[in-house]
Amino acid sequence: MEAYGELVNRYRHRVYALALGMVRNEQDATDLSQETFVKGWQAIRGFKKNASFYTWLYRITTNLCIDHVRRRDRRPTVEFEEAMDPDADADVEIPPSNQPLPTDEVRRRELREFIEAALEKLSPEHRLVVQLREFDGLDYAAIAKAVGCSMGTVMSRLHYARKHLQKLLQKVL
Amino acid sequence: MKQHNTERLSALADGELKGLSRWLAQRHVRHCPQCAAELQRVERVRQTLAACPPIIEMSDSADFFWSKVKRDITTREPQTVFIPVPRLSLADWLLVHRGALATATSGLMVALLTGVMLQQPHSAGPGTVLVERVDTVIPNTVATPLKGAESDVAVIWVSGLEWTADLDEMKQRFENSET
Ligand SMILES: [Zn+2]
Repeated sequence: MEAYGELVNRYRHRVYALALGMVRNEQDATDLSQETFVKGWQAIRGFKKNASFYTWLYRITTNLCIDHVRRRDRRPTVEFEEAMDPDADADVEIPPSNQPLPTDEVRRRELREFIEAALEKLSPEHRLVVQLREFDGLDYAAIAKAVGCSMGTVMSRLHYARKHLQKLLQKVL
Repeated sequence: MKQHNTERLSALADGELKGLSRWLAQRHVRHCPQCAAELQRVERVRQTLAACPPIIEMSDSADFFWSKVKRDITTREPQTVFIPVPRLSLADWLLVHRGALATATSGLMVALLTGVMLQQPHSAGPGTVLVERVDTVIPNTVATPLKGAESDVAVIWVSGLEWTADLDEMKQRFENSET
């Protein structure tokens, strides 16, 4: 079991980041990460060695998070394509341009916060594919497996997520 | 690439287009200022995110988190949960493995001819061979089930699968590739 502990340690932040992106609550994300690894242990005997453990783990996480969100919030998820509201982006804070030029470090921190705020504005589905692609480096086939959709859907979601991000990040692009 | 297919520009930027579709997309971008500008915007977004990825880490320490996971594992009723390894749909599988399709198509044709010839004596009777072809997303390739009258002769040929003379093995490969 200690070998499994190594895997837990290696992937816990990535699983947590994925869960947080989907449920938007730190305590829930921690609990769901915990549940992911418990489920992973219970199911690991059925895991095929030639499959990607990472993708498989993601699948467990996304399934748990989807169930959690459904239970917590019965409202249907609205896709960005269907409900792009021009006013929805209004409260993203951007660093004022007329202020003295901050140091690189401060500037970088501000940019990071700005990006995080922009990602917060994406729908859970779009944020998920952005995270898997941009931050975890998964290819479309792996994302499709992790999310449980087709590669065409991955391509479409990434496209619309990036269109939205273009708008949200306009001031820093 | 069809006119201004911006979804495919995202895939192009991600290096997800291969072969002919990549060449067509690149060619379109070279001749279309609108798509060239769009591709540039997509790449700027990607570069910006890559430059400052959000740092998201759980507040639990490694030891504390593992102790919680371990406690749950040991205190819960022992049970084995089956979580299938995620697989691609047939269409996606064919897209991913399109490189193997060309070589396998010839094998498919040989297999088809052989299958039909072997069934010839029954072709006019109740054992008629039923051949159905299903177009795949790859041009000029098909998935082809071959069904004989005997219950133990039912083979499905899919272009893209490595050729084998063992019919059960071929059927198994098809089933493995399906989802
Ligand atoms: Zn164009």
